[in-house]
Amino acid sequence: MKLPYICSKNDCCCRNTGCDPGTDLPKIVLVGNPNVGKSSLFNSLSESYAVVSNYPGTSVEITRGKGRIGNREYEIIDTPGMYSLHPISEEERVSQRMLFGEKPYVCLHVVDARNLRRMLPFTVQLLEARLPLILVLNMMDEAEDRGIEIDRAKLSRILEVPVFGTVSSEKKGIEELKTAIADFKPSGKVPKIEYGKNIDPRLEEIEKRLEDAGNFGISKRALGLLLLQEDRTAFEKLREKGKEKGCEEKDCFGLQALAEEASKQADCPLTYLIALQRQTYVNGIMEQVMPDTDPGDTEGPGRRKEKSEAAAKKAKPGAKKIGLAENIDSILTHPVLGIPVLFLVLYFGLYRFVGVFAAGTVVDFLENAVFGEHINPWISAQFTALVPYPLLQDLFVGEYGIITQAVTYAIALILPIVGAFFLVFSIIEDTGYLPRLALLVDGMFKKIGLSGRAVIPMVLGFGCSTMATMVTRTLETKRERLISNILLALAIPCSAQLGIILSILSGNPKGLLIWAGVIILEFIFIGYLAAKVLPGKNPTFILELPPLRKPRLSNIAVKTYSRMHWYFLEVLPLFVMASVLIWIGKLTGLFALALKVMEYPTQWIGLPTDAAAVFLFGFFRRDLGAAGLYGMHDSGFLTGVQLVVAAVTLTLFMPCIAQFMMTIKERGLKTALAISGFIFPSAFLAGFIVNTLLDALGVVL
Amino acid sequence: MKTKSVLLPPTEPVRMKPGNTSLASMEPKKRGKISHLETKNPGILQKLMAMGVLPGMPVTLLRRKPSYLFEVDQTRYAVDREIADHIFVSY
Ligand SMILES: Nc1nc2c(ncn2[C@@H]2O[C@H](COP(=O)(O)OP(=O)(O)OP(=O)(O)O)[C@@H](O)[C@H]2O)c(=O)[nH]1
Ligand SMILES: [Mg+2]
Repeated sequence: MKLPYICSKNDCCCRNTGCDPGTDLPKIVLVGNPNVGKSSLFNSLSESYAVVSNYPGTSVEITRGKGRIGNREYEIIDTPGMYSLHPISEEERVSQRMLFGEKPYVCLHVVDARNLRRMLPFTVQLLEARLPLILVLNMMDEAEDRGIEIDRAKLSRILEVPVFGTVSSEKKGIEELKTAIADFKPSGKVPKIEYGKNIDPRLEEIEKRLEDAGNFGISKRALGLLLLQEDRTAFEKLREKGKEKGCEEKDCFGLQALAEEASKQADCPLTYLIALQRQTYVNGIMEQVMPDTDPGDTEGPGRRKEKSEAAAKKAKPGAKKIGLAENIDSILTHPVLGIPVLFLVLYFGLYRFVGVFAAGTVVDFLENAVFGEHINPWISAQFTALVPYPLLQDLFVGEYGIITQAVTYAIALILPIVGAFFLVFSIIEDTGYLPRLALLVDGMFKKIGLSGRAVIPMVLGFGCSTMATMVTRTLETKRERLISNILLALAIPCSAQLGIILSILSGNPKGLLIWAGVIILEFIFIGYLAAKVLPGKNPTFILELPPLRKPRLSNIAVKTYSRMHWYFLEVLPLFVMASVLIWIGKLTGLFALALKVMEYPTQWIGLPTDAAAVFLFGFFRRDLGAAGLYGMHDSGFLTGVQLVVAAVTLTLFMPCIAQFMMTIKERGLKTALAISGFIFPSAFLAGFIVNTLLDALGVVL
Repeated sequence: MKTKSVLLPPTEPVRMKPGNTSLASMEPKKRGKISHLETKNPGILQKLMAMGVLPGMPVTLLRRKPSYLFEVDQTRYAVDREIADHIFVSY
């Protein structure tokens, strides 16, 4: 197994910039629809690693890596999936901008062979844009299982680009592809599609006006088509070019006016006309390369049945596999049966495995037996003997010391919990369960102003809300992105926090239920409120459901490892920094002062003053706060009620610094500050209410 | 963008024939063909077309609840009521 070299440029959670080749290597750019296997292919071609999961919208950032093909080095670029050159959501726009900006040596258009008819229009667009292209038909295994046969040689002749079949998850067909990349020569052919009287003359006009405007990265015809569809990036590009030419006007080439005029004259959106013409062109190609599967416009139901039976016979080996997946699928998406399945997944995956096993048994062993009884006493003794200065001793092996607190927490507490969580999570991701979950909850999510799609970043938020904040890009409206950012910052605990809380409360089922109930209520309440207050329409829901797939052990292992790796690198320096800050604070008396201040709200929610330190940690990082709570629980300071109150407050408490920074990046400083300013008091308010209620009802936990 | 609602393909006027319904009211498990799309909302229209939901494609409705689940060619899509109302089907 290749150990990944984890990095993706601009990635929040990973400051590893060393792998950005940044030189003048020839660029190989992977583009294509979501979930077709671009990142899998990237992993086979480059030395880097991009996350692979079975749902559309896994990659939301560009990942760069280096790869050797033949005896030459290349820069390989993985992009977020996009449905066409004319983007709708933000992650698609990231890819579009990249295509405009880079000068690729070759673009690999990756398509799902099963869905060639649907994806070829994008190939045609890329050709219209005059990008140097190789067409990669991926997922050939699944196509064969379904009896789909494609005449690749013919397809290649028609399009005049190389066409290759691959199974990128099994690294099949990669060598042939590599050879083709090394020998690649761009062809000059551009498909000539007629778009009709509303469009063609205007396209010509645009091309004429832009004749000496310079290079746009894509052909002027493709740019013209985007302009006619009033694409934002295309207009931006135009304005930039205008500025370079010293024109300060908004509409230098008069093209905005032209586009508006065109859409006024047509009796339906130009996007529609363009897409229909392109599909007609593609259907013509499909008839030649897959003669016995036309989309069904000319035949009666009788013939279709015959044909599908013939196809089924051909597909014998795969038919059983498909049948089983079908059956499981119909349970997962069932309006009634889907719910108990969800609870089973939560109970076994989250509670039993992460909460009880990893955060309970494993952590107990590592923290108390390994570190508590062996490693730490030994290091303390050695250190004290070697360094006779109490001041330094305090910094390294004191109560909040770098070794005794930071390293111990990071290795013995956080690592096993996030490791277990990421393991379960990878399995869930790779089966394709998440899109089914989205379908299941769409109705409920609409009540809090979100579409079912938003369940994906929400679930990812349990892993690391920083990562999830970035994934909200896949949501279509600003309003939806804002609501999900708020909920992520407020009510979604991260894996370490969740694991610790599950484990602390696992001996106390009533307390666990109260905690979960309060968090869910707050989630719904704030979401509902936000949906009411924020202007704008409720989002619509449309999502492609990929087939259920059997998770691959190697992918799960690499993914879990790479996520643990970055989490650890992220968490350790911050924990160490916290130890150092506390040490300085103690020297200057500031720590005591801060503790004194935090004691007020702490007492207010009915906790002993000692718990103030936990919240102080929580400011720093959620998981450090949770680790502090674990320590207090271990030493038996808190009663059952106090534990629940502390768990509630801490869960709703401040997002960590990394997430805060990411929210600034995605939403802007003002919004990020407003969200945090709201969260701090509201967390304590919730803690206060829970404490008062439990107290008034005389609950003993 | 235009907000006028026009039924396509533009060359042949599409009337609401019997057997011509929206996806939302289509009979489950029966095979149909997408006859046209509602063009009122350009955002939804663009998304549907980019994702491959286009006139002429065969379509089967699999579920109405908890969301509309349908199959076009080889791909499955989950949509809500609003989007399902944008897709028209003939048998
Ligand atoms: N059966 C099969 N599955 C594949 C193949 N290639 C990729 N997959 C699976 O398809 C899913 C999607 O793969 P990714 O590489 O994440 O797809 P992507 O194109 O990067 O997706 P986005 O980042 O969402 O755009 C994963 O579950 C892969 O394991 C293949 O050739 N055959
Ligand atoms: Mg990807």
